[in-house]
Amino acid sequence: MNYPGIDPCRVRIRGLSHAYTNAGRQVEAVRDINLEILDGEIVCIVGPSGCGKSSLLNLIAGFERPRQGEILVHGHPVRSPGPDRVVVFQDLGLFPWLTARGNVEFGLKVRGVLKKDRREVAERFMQMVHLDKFMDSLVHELSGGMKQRVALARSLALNPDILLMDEPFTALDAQMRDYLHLELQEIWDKTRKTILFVTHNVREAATLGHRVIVMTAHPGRIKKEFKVDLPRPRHIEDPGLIEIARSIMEELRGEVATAMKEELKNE
Amino acid sequence: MSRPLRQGLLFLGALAFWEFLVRLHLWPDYLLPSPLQVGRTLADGLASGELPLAIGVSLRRTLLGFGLTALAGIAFGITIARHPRLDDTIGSLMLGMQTLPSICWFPLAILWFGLSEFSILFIVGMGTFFSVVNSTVAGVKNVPPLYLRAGLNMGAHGYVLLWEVVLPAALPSILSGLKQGWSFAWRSLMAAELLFVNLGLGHLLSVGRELNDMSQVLAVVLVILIIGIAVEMGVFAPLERHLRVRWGLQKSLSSVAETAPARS
Ligand SMILES: Nc1ncnc2c1ncn2[C@@H]1O[C@H](COP(=O)(O)OP(=O)(O)OP(=O)(O)O)[C@@H](O)[C@H]1O
Ligand SMILES: [Mg+2]
Repeated sequence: MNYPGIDPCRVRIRGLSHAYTNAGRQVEAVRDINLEILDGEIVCIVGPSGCGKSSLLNLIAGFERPRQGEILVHGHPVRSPGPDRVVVFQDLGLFPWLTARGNVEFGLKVRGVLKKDRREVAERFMQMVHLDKFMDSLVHELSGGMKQRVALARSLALNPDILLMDEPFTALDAQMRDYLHLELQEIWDKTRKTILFVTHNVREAATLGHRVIVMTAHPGRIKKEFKVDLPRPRHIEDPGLIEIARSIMEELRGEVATAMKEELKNE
Repeated sequence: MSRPLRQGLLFLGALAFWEFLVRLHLWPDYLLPSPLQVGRTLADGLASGELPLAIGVSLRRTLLGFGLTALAGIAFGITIARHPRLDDTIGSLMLGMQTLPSICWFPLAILWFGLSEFSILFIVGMGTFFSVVNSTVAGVKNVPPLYLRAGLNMGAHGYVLLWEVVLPAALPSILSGLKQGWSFAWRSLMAAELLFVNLGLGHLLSVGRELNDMSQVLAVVLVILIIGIAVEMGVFAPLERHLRVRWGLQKSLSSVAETAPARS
């Protein structure tokens, strides 16, 4: 269903290439990325270390300007960071001088939302991640998994169009990760956010994504795309899912070997 | 034994040792008066209003000189930290200036501003300014880029980012600069008051010397010491403790090493 003038894609990336200048040397991060993400879709990106996954996220978030190509969000080119595209950073970046509540309210406060309304929103999203009992805890008083959920609540409170998640669950143990997979799917079910989710873990990608994109080793290009048509909520141990994960892994294995070889050569 | 009790005992011990030295009669009374005598001088000074006046004048000068220059120092430090060009020129100059004892500004202040109240504020301010500037620069430059990204990402720009992210993140460093700045301010004020003939505790000290009144000298030194300790323990120590708790910096080194990889 294509209506004239209305872009059905939340994110449209065309011919995107980016390189960094590292001590005078050009380091190519991503090359010729073409990607479309639909409204309310969860797209997972897997690829070997250093292939440019974080770079792609940073480009969409607007922290970097691309060397080539363009990123359109609802038809408008990305020029700077903004609360319509919120990143859940791998290292979270929660502010330690604020309570959990203060962190979740931050974006609203900056936006000039009144205190009473801020509190209401913060309470709603802290409830969504089941942390309403920890509203007034300081960040360093929370466990790793709780911090992760506060970071998620902080991002959701901004009501962004797109959630950009950079390996958010990598540092957690398996039980906490499984739990957050369910929680994220539940939240997605309630909010239908568009989510771009970067991970190393192929099974995690298959659990969460409607589509899984495999990137090549350095420089990162899109190698192959997998559709995951399984009912939700999915669990990382579901047999059908493991089958799909295996074929994704097949595709990825060669790339990881290439990346390893390259890294060893550089040393 | 509780902390105040231990501190009280230490204080009493020091007094007893002093009294003991006096009883040995190694020095004549007018060189080493007894604690009781000094206490009486202190009480007389307080009763006559001479000491409270001097304390008031000195505190007002420090607060004014310290307060104004601390604000200016924070603003200046932020400006320097945010402009690399300024940082590698003026920034390194500021580091150099910090090594200059601020009483060295005394001749300059006299020549420029005369024997005025402003000269004193200038000298006090010079003591504060550079440590506050330098600690602010260090604090702002050390704000983790992740916090800046997170702030920008949530829609904070410009002054909002500065106020809501950069300053809180740099606050522990700024506070340590303020603390150092205060102690420099207090010291340079005493030096300046000793040299100027003009109200204030330092002035009382120099009067005591001129009158050969050791008891007054010691009484004033005690007052200066007590004020210094009171500000340190009553203002800066609690603030620092609060920041450490709030910012989560209070863990011991070993426990930080254990949790560093952020894995559970
Ligand atoms: N800010 C930067 N400055 C210079 N080079 C960078 C920068 N960020 C990334 N790079 C380089 O770009 C390439 C891609 O890095 P990126 O962080 O996007 O990879 P990644 O796929 O996220 O890796 P990982 O899975 O390990 O997180 C790497 O070669 C890296 O060295
Ligand atoms: Mg990365």
